[in-house]
Formats: sequence, C-alpha cells, structure tokens
Amino acid sequence: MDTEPKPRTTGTLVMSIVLLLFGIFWMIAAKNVPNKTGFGSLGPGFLPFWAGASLVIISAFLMIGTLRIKLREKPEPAKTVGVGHHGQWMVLLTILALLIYIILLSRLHFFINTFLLAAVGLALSGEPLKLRLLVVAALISFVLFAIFVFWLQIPLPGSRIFG
Amino acid sequence: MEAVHLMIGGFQAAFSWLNLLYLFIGVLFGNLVGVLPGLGPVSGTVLLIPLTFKLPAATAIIMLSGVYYGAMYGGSTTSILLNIPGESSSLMTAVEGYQLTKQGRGGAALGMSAITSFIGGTLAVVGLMTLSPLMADVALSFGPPENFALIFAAFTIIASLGGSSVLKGLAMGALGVVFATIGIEPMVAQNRLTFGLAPLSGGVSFVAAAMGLFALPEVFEGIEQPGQVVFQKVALKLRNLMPNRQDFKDSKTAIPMGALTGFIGGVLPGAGATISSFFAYGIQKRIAKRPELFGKGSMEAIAAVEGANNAASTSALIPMLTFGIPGSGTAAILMGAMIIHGLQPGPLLFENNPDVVWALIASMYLGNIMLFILNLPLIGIWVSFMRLPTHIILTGVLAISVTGVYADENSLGDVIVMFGFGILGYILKKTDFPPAPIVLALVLTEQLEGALHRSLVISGGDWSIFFTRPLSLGLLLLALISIILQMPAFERWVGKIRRLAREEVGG
Repeated sequence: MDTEPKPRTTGTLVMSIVLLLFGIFWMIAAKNVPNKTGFGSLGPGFLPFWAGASLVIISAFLMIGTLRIKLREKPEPAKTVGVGHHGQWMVLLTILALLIYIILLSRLHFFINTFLLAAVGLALSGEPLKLRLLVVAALISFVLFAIFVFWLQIPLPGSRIFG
Repeated sequence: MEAVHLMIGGFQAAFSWLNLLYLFIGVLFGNLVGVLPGLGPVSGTVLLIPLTFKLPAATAIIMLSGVYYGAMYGGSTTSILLNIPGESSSLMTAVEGYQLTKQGRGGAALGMSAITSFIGGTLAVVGLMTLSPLMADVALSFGPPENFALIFAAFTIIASLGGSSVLKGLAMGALGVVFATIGIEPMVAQNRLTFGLAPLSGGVSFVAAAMGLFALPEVFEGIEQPGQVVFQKVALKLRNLMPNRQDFKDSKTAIPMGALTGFIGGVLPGAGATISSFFAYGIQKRIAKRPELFGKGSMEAIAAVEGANNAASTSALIPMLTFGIPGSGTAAILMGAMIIHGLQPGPLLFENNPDVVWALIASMYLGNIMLFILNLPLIGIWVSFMRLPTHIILTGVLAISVTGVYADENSLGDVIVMFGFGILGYILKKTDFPPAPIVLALVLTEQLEGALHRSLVISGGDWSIFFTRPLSLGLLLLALISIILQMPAFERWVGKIRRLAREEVGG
C-alpha cells in the first residue's frame, strides 16, 4: 500500500477529456436556443453557450497541464493504491441496489423498499448476515418513516396504507 | 435605536419554544456531525434540509445554521481524543490536541477548546450583528453591473481557493453554471436544454444535487474503504476538563487573535474555517512565547485554532446575508435552503425579512450558549457514538438521503437527479475535483444571469458598462488577479524570478 498520496494524473486527464467533450456537446445544444431577444437583450441561449465554452477552455488547459505532468513522470509498475477491487465492487453493487430502489420507489411500500435498501447496504458494507442486520435495517426504515410520515406529515409511497 | 428594537424582536422570536427546540436539534446534530469522521458540516447541513420543508422559514434557517457552527464545536472532540479530525478545520487541533492527550492532558485540551470555541463564536456573532446592517446598506447602493461583477468575482475566488488546483475549481464552477442553465430561463421564461425530460423543466433540484454531491460520495467511500475507529480510554470526568491557570495565561493572546483571524477569514469569500484555522495557527506560532511547544502539544495553539474556526463559521454568513454571496460550501447550502423557503439572501433581506435575520442572529447567541453547556458533558456520549460501526451510520445516511430528496417534491425525477449527482460526486472525489463550486453555481447562476441581463438592458447592449464603472471594474480585476495568482505558470514564474534574484545576490 502506498503511504504518500500521488497526484491523480490519470483520473484528472480522463476527467478533463470528459469535461471537454461535455462542454462541446453543451455548446452545440445551446446553439439551438436563441441567444438574442427582440428587445436588444441577451437571449436564453447566451449563458449556456458561454458556460459550455468556458468548460471547454478550462478543461483544455487542465488536459494540457496534466499531460505535461504525465510526460515528466517516470513510468512505474502498477501498484495497488489503498483499495483493492473488492471495495470497488461493493460500491458498484451499492449503486446497483440504489438504482433498483429508485425503480421500485413508486411500486413498493416505502417501508419495505427502504428496509431492503438498508439491509443490502449493511450487508455490502460488511455487516455480518445475522439477526442484527435485519433489526438495524428495520430500525432505519421505521425511524425514517416515523420522522417523515408521522412527524413531518410528508406522504411517502404507500404511506396511506397506515392511514 | 432601531437595531436594538430589531434585536429585541429577534430574541423574542428566538426564545419561542419551536425555535428553541429546532435550534437545540440543530446544534446537537451539528455537534454529532463534527464528531463523526467522514460527515462534515456540508453533508450534515444537507441531510437536515428535508426536515425543514414543513417548518417556518426562520425556524428552518435557525436549525440549519445551528448544524454548521455546532459541527465546529464537535470537530475538536475526536481530533483531541483520537487524532481524527471530524472535519478539515480541526486538523491543527488534532496535531496539538492528541499530543496533549498522550501527555494525560486531553481533558484540559477539550475544556480549552470548548471555552475558546464559545468565545470565538460569540465574538463573531457580535461582529455579525454590528457589521451586517452596514454592509447591507453598502450592497443596496450596487447597481446591476456591480452585482454582476461581485458575483463573478466571488465565483472565481471561491473556485480558485476551493481545491487542490485552480483549474479544477474553475472547471467545476463552469460545470455548475452548465447545470444551472437547465430549465426555465428567468428573464423570458423560456424552457431551455431539458432535452424533452419533464422533471428537468423546473431546473436541477438544489436539494437533489447537494445531497448527491456531498452525502452519497461519503457513503460510497465508506463502503469502499471500511475502517473502524480505534478507541482509546481517556479520563472524561468534568473536573479533568478544566484548563489550569497557566493554560489561560499562555492563551491570553491566542484567544482574541484566533477569534479575529477567524472572523476576517470567514468574511472573505473562499477562505472559510479551514484556511482561517491554519492562519491562526501560523500567526500564533510566530507570536508565542514558547513556540517550541507547537507540534508537541500546545494549549495556546488549540485556543487559537478553535477560536478561529468557530468565528469563521459565523462570520461566513455575513457576505451571504448582506451581498447574497456565500463565502463557503456550507454557506452555499444555507443560501440554497433560504431560497427553498422563499427568502432571497442579499441586501433586501434586511428590509424584507428583518424578523428572520434578527431571529437568526439572536439564535446564534443562544446556540453558542447551548453548545458551551452541552459540549463538555456530551463528550462521553459522543465518544461512545464512535464505537458505532461506521457502516451502520453510512447506511442510515444513504436511506436519509433518498427519502429526504423524495420528500422535497414527492418527485421520483429528483431522486434520479440525486442518483446521477451521487455518481458524479464519487468520481469527483476519486479524481480530487472539488464539488463545492458546482453547488455554488447552482445557487448563484440565476442572480448572475439576471444581473448580466439588466446591465445590458441599461447600457443598450454595450458591454463597456462593466469596465467604465470603477467598482465593477475593480471587482472584475480582483477576479482576474485571484485566478492569475493561483495559476501554476505564475508560481513557476515567481520561482524563476526568485532564483535569478538569489543568483544575482550570490554572484
């Protein structure tokens, strides 16, 4: 494991390219919105276009700067920095669980859906698959339900079942 | 005289049972957030926004600002006892405090931290009360070009100071403006760049974006790198928590200096509690009678740092309340919450909603007193909270985030937006891009665009209006200088000149 944090040049480089492409896409999209109004002022397309253009310019500078740093760096054998693939898989599975939760949000009762999300979240983050996992998941779901539905009186999916 | 009347009215409002209850909840939750590593004041404040949807505006803002300064109090606890800064502004407290804990003086360090936090926080509220109406009057004299230049300058300064690289901060600011332009344009009320997606016609939900950018990445990172806090036993009896006479004698310059540095740092956009605490530490080290103790457990360093970060968290509200410019990420979240509750931070806030402003200021006195009383007796409880497995807390945060965003508008679209911003926030965290400028842009872009439009209407489309008015020109130059000074090319150029100068002197 590395003890000294290294500059994240590869990540920065990839991000700067993504931001640059997104900026270009935004400029093209903003071109379809009028950038002048009839009474001499700016139209609704002006700011989005220039925001996209700014993103392109800044990302280009960032990309060039990062490339220069990368070229100066000596190539090193690949090292495991901090986290292994297991952690990244857990994050990916959590994101997937969250996506399923969102899909089920308007179809399943809030309490059940949140209980399932909490149980999966707990299991993925290392809680042993024992009774405590179910109790904690039920508790999280119940506390949230109580706060939002009973205390704040904000309806959540399926909360009408409880009157 | 009018200010006294308004302040009395503010105290009357702050003393209502409802406001006292929510202030208590806010400072208590803030204290806990400060204690828990991983959750900072920004994510803590964001998490409580959904609880305010049904509350009156003043009560909501009182509670949320309580979370902010409450977190500053709590941040010192784990720093001193466990060498884990609850948030970044407590970093130097951890450096000094943990050394004192190892020397058996952890209790006194906690006591000193609570006392100086109280003094710093309270002095900053006095400053806030005195300066804010004056600054609001100044801000009222601004025309649209000055407002545009001010927002633009604040934007660039905050973006350039916010992260490890000025370009990364600026790129995030630009990305934030891009997101903020989605939905109905405010001047001609035309729908733009929604790509036919109905949930986007109202624009990107501030709560969804903030929750996604700040709360979800903490959860993902906690799941990726599960860690357990190693708890060490410390004598936490109340009698061990009082610093001795020598400690106070050593800290007599550190306390006012820390409070003053923090106050100034909080008012300046971009500086905030973290930079103020580093400044206060550096200044105190230079003026200390025993600088050799710094790094080995210095009580006066703790006094300076804690006074500074608490004062800064309060004074950061001044530019937000008076100019409508949030000076930090948390202030941007608070400003967003104010807008959700129908308040428009800025000079007119003092004219249109004096009841809310003065109730907020009065509540900050009470909040500081509450925190001072609560802080020391609660330390034992907070430390036992540290025994809770982190993944249980993070799973709770995950569930609160989704429920809170859904509850805002009962909109599935907002939850999807939060999901997207959550993934973006996680990627930004991994690649070391600061997310705060995005939130700042979401809050400020509407004002920026409005000021730009109005300025050009006044000038008949002539852009020179921004450069012919002295204040506007000065602010734009300030923005430019703040960017240039942070550029790597400028740093290299300064380094080259220094080298040449050294060679000249040497040769």
